[in-house]
Amino acid sequence: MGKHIDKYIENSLLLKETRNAHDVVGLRVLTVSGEVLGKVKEVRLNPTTAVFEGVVVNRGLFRAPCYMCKRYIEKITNDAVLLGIEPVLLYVGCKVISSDGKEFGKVRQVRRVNQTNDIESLLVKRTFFRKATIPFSQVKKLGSSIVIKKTFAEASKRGA
Amino acid sequence: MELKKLQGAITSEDVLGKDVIDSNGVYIGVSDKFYLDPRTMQVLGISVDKGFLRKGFVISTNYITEVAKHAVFLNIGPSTLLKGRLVFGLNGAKIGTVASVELAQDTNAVAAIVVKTGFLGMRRVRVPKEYIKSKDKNIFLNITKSELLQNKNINSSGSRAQMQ
Repeated sequence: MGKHIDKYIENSLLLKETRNAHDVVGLRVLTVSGEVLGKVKEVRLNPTTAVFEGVVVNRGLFRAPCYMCKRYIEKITNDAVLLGIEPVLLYVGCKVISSDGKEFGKVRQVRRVNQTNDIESLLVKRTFFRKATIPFSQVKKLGSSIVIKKTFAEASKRGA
Repeated sequence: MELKKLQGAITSEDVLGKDVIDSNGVYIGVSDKFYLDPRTMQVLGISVDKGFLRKGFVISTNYITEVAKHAVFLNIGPSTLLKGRLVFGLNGAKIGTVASVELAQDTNAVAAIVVKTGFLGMRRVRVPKEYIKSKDKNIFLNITKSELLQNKNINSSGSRAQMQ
């Protein structure tokens, strides 16, 4: 900003307090647990109010990009975009373990409540042909793996 | 001995050879032996075998939540597993990766972490626990990268720190 800029401001932030959207593109996006979700691909604005609405996150070559609305963004710094949530799409591929400690399968798909970050149910791939749906109420713990409330025998009976 | 007492008890076969799963659901290893107090005959802990050429460790019974049919569940995530995780500053800038973890007196509490940073990870920076904001899948510090690297109170050395 070498040249002098004429500023027109009323009930708004000063120019120096704002961020250049161009600088946000390419920033790393971190979840609340510190996992790298991807990099900012686009910054999206509301065309009517011209207010920032969210960012599109590029997740790599073979993964579909995702959109994070401003509600889920905690902070935008010079180095990264910090989210206030752990996006449920990161649970895809996680192991599902029964309450008695046996591996039940792997998460194939996370079904969400509308387009929010709340889980409705998990579609678990057990073998090549067998799949099971686990409602979120049956999930005991979410972490690097997902522990369900039922034992392996009980869950197998239900999913069969 | 009363037979009623034995009905709810478990045997060594129920504990040994089972997967050990931490509080985050991460598979740690297999329980391979347990330790008894020779006087009271109480179980003190189990040792976990992490596999070929990997150093196992002993976990006290305080950290065991449940011995299930197929696995032993812990109520902690062992801090030694932090090794290799990414370390970010307060603003989300990547600082480096965890080279080693210093534990406080044989407990699971972290006293400090040694972060390898700089060109090709040649520089080692010891970060005391006061500067660790959160440790989950990766580690966040409560100071920025520039503050960390300029802070003289934090022990910084060019040589490799002592590994634990």
